[in-house]
Amino acid sequence: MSETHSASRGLKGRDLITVGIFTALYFVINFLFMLLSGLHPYLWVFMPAIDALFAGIPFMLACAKVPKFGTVLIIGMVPSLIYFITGMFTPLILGLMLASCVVAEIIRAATRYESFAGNAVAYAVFGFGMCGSPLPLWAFHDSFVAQIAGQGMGADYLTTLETAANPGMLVAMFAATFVAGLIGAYIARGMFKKHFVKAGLA
Amino acid sequence: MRTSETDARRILGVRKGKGLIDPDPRTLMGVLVAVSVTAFMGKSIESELLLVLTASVLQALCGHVRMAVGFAVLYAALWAVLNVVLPGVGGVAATMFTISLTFARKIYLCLMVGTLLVRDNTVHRIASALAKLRVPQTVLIPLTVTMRYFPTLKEEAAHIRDAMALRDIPAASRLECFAVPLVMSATSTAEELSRAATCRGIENPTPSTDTERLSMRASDWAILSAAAAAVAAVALWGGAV
Repeated sequence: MSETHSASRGLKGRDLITVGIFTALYFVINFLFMLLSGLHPYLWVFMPAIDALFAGIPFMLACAKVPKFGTVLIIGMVPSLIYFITGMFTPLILGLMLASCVVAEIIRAATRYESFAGNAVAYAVFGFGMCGSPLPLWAFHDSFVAQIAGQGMGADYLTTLETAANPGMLVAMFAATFVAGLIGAYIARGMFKKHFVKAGLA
Repeated sequence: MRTSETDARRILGVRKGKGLIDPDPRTLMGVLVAVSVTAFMGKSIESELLLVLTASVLQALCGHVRMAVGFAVLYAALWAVLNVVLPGVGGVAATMFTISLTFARKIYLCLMVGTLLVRDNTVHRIASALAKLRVPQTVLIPLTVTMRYFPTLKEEAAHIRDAMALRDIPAASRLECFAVPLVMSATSTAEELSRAATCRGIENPTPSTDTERLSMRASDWAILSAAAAAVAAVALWGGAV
């Protein structure tokens, strides 16, 4: 399957479909960890990191197949739109996703779309977009604490919550997401070398 | 094509209304924005209850009576778990589920309106509504491809699982043995689909025509203004918590 990258810079119909398919793969991985994150507060805080660790393959493959401006924006915005339409509180995810996608696009453009290091850093930055999911823990902290106290949870639970939602954890979340993104990109490269290059896919 | 669709009197793009009102998807998206705004505003239990009941009335008016009843019952169950069961039980279960269920209660209205929007409309209808809201085609085409690919993906995953069950694969390499064929099949699907779409003229630069007829009617504007009024009312007199 010899890919003929046309000289035009814009995304064409076939590029849009290719990106759409890989976005579906990304969304499924993302959604599974989103569901898992409901099990424990710490799992929720580090969901973006776990997500970044495993979702590297569809992202890196889409970037390799469609080395043009806009690929990452689509991979980010389509899941955000789906989350919005299905009513999973998204203003924070939408905003953060848009910002991190734009930064990731700039990194890809600066590294001319072909270098592994550039795409890996772009992927690590892209991971910040999903940090919008647990972000209400900090952004609407008072509202959370007031309601949980109003529901009659004990004081010791509230202190647990305070440790999970302090500013240090916020920094830890972003740091873990970035590092996990780099590792996820490396895992994807391992898979590429082992399987996909041989099969002529990447 | 079903017989009802070949009915000569049927107007192309007009669908049979199931409920008393038949809101435009854009209206429900507007309501979704409104309830997202109120999600983290302080609300007393009375006003929260009133909003949930209003949303379920909206669902019932659109013809989804079972959905409306289900959401109302689920809300009562959620409240009971959060206020009675979890503080009473305590321990690990409480640590695990309090945050996520509290979050679920906060975004409950978003979930209600979102479910209504998805159940009440086809992917095509939602996509044409988004197109009317000037979402560019470069986002809409991947969006529809993504939504339509999910069933195929599920099928493909089931086939791979079946094939893996026949062979003795060590647990350590399960993930790899699952992911690689899935990505392979996704890649070839992308190839086939883009060839088919090119044949059907996806690269035609002129805007395509659409059989979907969307129009904002008086009832749509009424729902939207009611939603805006509800946001203002919650902001002004919503009460604490």
